[in-house]
Amino acid sequence: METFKIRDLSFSYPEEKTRQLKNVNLTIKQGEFVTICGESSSGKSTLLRHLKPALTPYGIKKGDIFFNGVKIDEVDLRTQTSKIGYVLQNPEHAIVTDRVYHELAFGLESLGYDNNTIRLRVAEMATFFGISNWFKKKVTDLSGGQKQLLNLASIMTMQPDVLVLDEPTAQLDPLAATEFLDTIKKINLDIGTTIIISEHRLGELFPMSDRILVMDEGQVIIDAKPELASRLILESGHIMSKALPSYMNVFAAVEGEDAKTRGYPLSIKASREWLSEKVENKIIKHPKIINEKENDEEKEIVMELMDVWFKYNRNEKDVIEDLSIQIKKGEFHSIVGGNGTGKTTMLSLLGGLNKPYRGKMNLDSNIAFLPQNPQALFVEMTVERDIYEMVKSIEKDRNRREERANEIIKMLDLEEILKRHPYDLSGGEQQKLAMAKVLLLNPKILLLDEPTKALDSHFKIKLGSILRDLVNKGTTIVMVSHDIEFCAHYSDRVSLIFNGSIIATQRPREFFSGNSFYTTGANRMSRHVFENAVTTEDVIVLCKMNGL
Amino acid sequence: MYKAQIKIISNAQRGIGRDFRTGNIYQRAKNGLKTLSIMLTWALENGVETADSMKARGYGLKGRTSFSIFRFDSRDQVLAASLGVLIIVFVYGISIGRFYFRIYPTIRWAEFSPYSLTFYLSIGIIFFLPTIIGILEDLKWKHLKLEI
Repeated sequence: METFKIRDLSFSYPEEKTRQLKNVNLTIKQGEFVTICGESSSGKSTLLRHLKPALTPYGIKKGDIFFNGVKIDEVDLRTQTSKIGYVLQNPEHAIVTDRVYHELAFGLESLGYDNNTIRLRVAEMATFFGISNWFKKKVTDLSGGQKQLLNLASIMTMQPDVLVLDEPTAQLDPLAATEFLDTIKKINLDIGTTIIISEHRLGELFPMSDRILVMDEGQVIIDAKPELASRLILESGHIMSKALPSYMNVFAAVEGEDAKTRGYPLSIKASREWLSEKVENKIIKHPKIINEKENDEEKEIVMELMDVWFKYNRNEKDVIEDLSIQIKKGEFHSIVGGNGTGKTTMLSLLGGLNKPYRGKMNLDSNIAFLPQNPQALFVEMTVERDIYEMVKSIEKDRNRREERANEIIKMLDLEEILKRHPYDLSGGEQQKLAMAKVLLLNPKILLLDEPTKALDSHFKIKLGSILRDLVNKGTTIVMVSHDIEFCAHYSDRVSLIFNGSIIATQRPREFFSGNSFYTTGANRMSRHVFENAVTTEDVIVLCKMNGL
Repeated sequence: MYKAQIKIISNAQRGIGRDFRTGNIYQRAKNGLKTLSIMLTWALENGVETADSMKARGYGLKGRTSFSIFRFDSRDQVLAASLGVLIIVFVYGISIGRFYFRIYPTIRWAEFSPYSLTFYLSIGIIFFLPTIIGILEDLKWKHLKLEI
């Protein structure tokens, strides 16, 4: 039985020449778990929104979509509401009521069920999702992960045949994201709901999915089972290969031509076994990467917190307890740690936005702060005007203004989006614009709060190289992040924050090779063979050095 | 909700050196207005998404019901019925003039008689109902505790 059948679907926004979707042909069977991946603006969201007529954007559409054999435009609103569930990206905005139980009941109320049915359905779903404990809470008291789980649950109460999810974990931290994706898989397995999901976290989704679709410029270019899909992506050298989990990249690089005949590993476990097999009966001559020269000691300290304590209110718990940290000149310092451990608060102390009630601080005044929400910086109608707005306030010399603006536009590749409205940009582009505005201040120290949140892998690489460039030019960067892979790749030193204080500060290689859970995928796959490989490149280099 | 957002925005603006707490009046007003304008755009933009979420869950379909987690059980029925009776007695008391109490400018009340006392009693019970229920609950707990 087919849930969706898409024939020759093309779509373009009014007054725009480029088509967002180009001749998409697709059949999705009932109970299938389909993952759609692709760069941002490859047409993923547009395609997903076409599967739910209530959310389909206005524009010129050609081709047909059939839902359970009926043309989707002819499906009435009631059936469509209950049978096609759609989970939006940002949990904050999707919640419409004030209490958890009311949110769960919202869809059922719209459909006009009586109180007893609603009570039963709500109770059932609350139990399935483990919501019972916070059933009566206010929605504003929930964490981001709980909010997204609530969104999902409030759609599941309507018992949909198919769930469409558009990057549902983009705003979540890694632990909450894993929990959310596990729940999705459970729904698929236990209830048999068809799942169509678009995501950046491919490492977790590949082993779960039945089928992978890769989209590029509005077309579906790869449509295959996960194993074959990963091979096709890596062989074609498509940009998506960077988004694949590191073990797949290692496998492809090490096996070379042989990768075609051998099956791709789909989990860390499988890749560990593959590596063990490779090193069997061989002596490992080079078990570790030799460290670059240590020159930390010579660098001068630009900012320092000493035995600092902080809380937001007198009667509340301490958020920062006895924290000490030194930021050295010209380093890229990453701060990692779980949720609610005080990462963002610490950054606000460094930025001078909050003051500690005990302890000493030596701060620098030439600081710029890139907030988690880039939208908080946008004031104008177009990207160009937004940049000039900033230039005006810092450059008194009229003649130099254009020069300054052009400089920054070039540095961050903003040429193509100059005429667009800041709110119409994708997450990555918004991040770029915010970065441009902040960099115009020419800060000596740059504070970043989760800059990689909601970015696709392609843009992460770009951001990484922009940041490295700045560091090379002498800027000091302090970054708070959940993104372990990103920290391992680009930073000079990593600090772990736990329970409001800094537990350890080390170079990324030492830091991550000592941990077994809080570390990169590349390290987890190779730690039984190599001593300190933390990035994909490390593992590949070591494999080559040892002649594997 | 908006308060939290204003905090985020003003912190973000302070982060790039624009604070509505410093500078001369003109600058302060300008920066304050900017914060407000960002706030407004943001709220509107988010509103679009919230509307999407409501539409996706069928808001606007005919025959919407409303769900409440509170049930109306037998205890509630008994309480409602007795309240009803008390109110009727009390209103009747007023209507026949047997129930009169004035404290200003002089203190005067309808004379006490066994008959009018019923009305005073009824209003007394209505006034003290929450207290009575509370005391009863407490007694019940103490009693239960003794049994354990």
